[in-house]
Amino acid sequence: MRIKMAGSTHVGRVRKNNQDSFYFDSTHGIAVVADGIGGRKGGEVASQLAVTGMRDALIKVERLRPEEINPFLSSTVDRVNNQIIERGEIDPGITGMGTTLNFLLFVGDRVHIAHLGDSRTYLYDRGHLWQLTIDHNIETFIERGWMNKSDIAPNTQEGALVRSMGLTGRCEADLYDIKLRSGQIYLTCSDGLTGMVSDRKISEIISHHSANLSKLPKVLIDEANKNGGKDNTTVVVSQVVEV
Amino acid sequence: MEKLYLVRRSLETYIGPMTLSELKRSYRRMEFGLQDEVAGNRGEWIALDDLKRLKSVNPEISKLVSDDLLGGWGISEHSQKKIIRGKKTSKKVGSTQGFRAFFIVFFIMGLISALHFSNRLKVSALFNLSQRSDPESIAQLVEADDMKSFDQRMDKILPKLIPKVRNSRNLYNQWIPYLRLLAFHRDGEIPGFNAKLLRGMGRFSAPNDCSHESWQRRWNSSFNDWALFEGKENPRVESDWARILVWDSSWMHRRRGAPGWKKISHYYEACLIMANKALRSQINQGIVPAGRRGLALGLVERISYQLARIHGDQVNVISQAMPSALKALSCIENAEDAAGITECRKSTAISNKKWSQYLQLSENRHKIFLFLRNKVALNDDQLTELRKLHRQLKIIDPLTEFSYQAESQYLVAIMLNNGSLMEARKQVGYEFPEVSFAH
Repeated sequence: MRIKMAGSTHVGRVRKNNQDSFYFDSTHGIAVVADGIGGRKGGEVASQLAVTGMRDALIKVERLRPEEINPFLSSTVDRVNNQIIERGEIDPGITGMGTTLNFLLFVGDRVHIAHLGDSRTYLYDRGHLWQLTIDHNIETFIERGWMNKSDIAPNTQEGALVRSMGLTGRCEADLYDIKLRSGQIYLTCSDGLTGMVSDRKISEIISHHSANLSKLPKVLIDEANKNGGKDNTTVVVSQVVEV
Repeated sequence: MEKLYLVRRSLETYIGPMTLSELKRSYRRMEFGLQDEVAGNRGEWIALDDLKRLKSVNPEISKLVSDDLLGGWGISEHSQKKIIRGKKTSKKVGSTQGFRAFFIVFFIMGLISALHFSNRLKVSALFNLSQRSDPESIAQLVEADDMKSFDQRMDKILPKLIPKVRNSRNLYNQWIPYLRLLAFHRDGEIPGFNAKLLRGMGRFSAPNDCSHESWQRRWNSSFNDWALFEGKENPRVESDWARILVWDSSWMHRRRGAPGWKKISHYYEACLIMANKALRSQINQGIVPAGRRGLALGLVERISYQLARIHGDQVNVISQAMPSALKALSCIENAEDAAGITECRKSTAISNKKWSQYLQLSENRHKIFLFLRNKVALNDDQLTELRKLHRQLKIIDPLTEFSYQAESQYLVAIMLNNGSLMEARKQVGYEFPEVSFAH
């Protein structure tokens, strides 16, 4: 399998610091984006811990059988989650820090995704775009009937997260997998992109820049900033060259 | 550009992207089913059995699904142009024969029903109830508590049943109580049936996987941390094995009888059953290190206590084997009156501040329901007292993440209904039908 990857991040036009973190490594088949939760101190610390924690765990692994992948991802997410919580307990200035996580692992002829929060992974294939990850926010959970409106405290925003890393001991990551096909592009991003750029526009930009992958993240980020850049924006793209 | 579709199976695995004809072939091969989701380009994800939404967004797929469903009845909606000597006419093919077959089947069913309800012939005897494998006959075995026959029957039908249940929301809803009962009667899993499907898709403060095997792994990897329940260090209950031990048994008792469960109250009870079973077997097999055996027995006592309380059983004596923090928690939950709660605090002194704070939370909650016990209505003074107690109720428990929104609404409803507990129960019952507030 051969994968090409590219990634970039930007603070945006409104925020003063960048709480997003990312990493990619096409040799090991890893791509990860984490968005520190706004409104809490230490979001940038949390997102960095999430990225390095996941990266370090996967780089150390020599081989994973297909049936080992999901349990390994689950337990790694749990461990990294606890590391974030412990770090917050040591430093009172960043207690309660949190982050989203979107982690991709390319193994064999499939990609496995571990997801928490509202950062997203999309699949672009032959001019079509699909959002692969289900947002872990109140709006989506109510829409899907996984939560009752009556369970929510008044004045809670619908975009508020239901799941993330670092906030509670319970860290239930969604795990997805999909068979790869040459030419596919997997786009992993923080909500700084999806909040500013429509899916239609994202698809259009990918279509125009798929032949020049290294430029694609910056073009997408520039589009988000052009539309207001209200949040930090991070994009990692992974193109399947050969399965 | 030919349209492509992606299918999301069991909210985990993607199939595709594929063209419509590839999707048809994949569907016919039962690679996915009606309760899975499909999406087109930049489209919303729609469950395949949501025909109404599917029709408005992906009519070509809704046609595939409804043709397939209707095709089973022998009624075809296809029309075919038939050329007759220079004339072009349309003739519906298959519908006449289809209707005939439909009426014959309908007539036979009517005859059987008529005979069954006359006293001349018992259809059940004819069809031998003991060999039937529909949910109703399985339900009768469960009602009769004939678990041996239940196990045998389920084992027989399982290989054919599982693929059907995975692919049909209706069948899932019909069979899930029995699949759960079978699973948690054994080792908390069913081969070929995803743990998430067994658990259900709601939001749970419980692990995804509560199989016996997963609990053995959890206990195995946590020996050295069990001492946290002595109450001398902070209540770090992030891990699943630790969190279940602080689950509020009164909260679980109020939610027994959750839909989709038989004999076992809900997923929380199922998890506790498996956790208990796994820990006991580790003790019996000598896997627990000798120095931790006492603690292990204490944890078993706590889980056993929780299971008893879910069913409303009063526990006469809280086991002394429980580590201090769990003993205190159990004592508070089990107390019969305010004096009993005070006694709990005295007899199980906890030195750690955070544990003390947590136990205080538990006390505040329990005092509310002790206060309401055996009352039908509250007078003005009692309402004032209730308002005070309500202010101390935390909606989300910081350790278990259990939501007490229903309990809070109940208290508010009592206040709004001038102290009438009956009226409050009726009102809250509409919004939280799965929660029982009977005292």
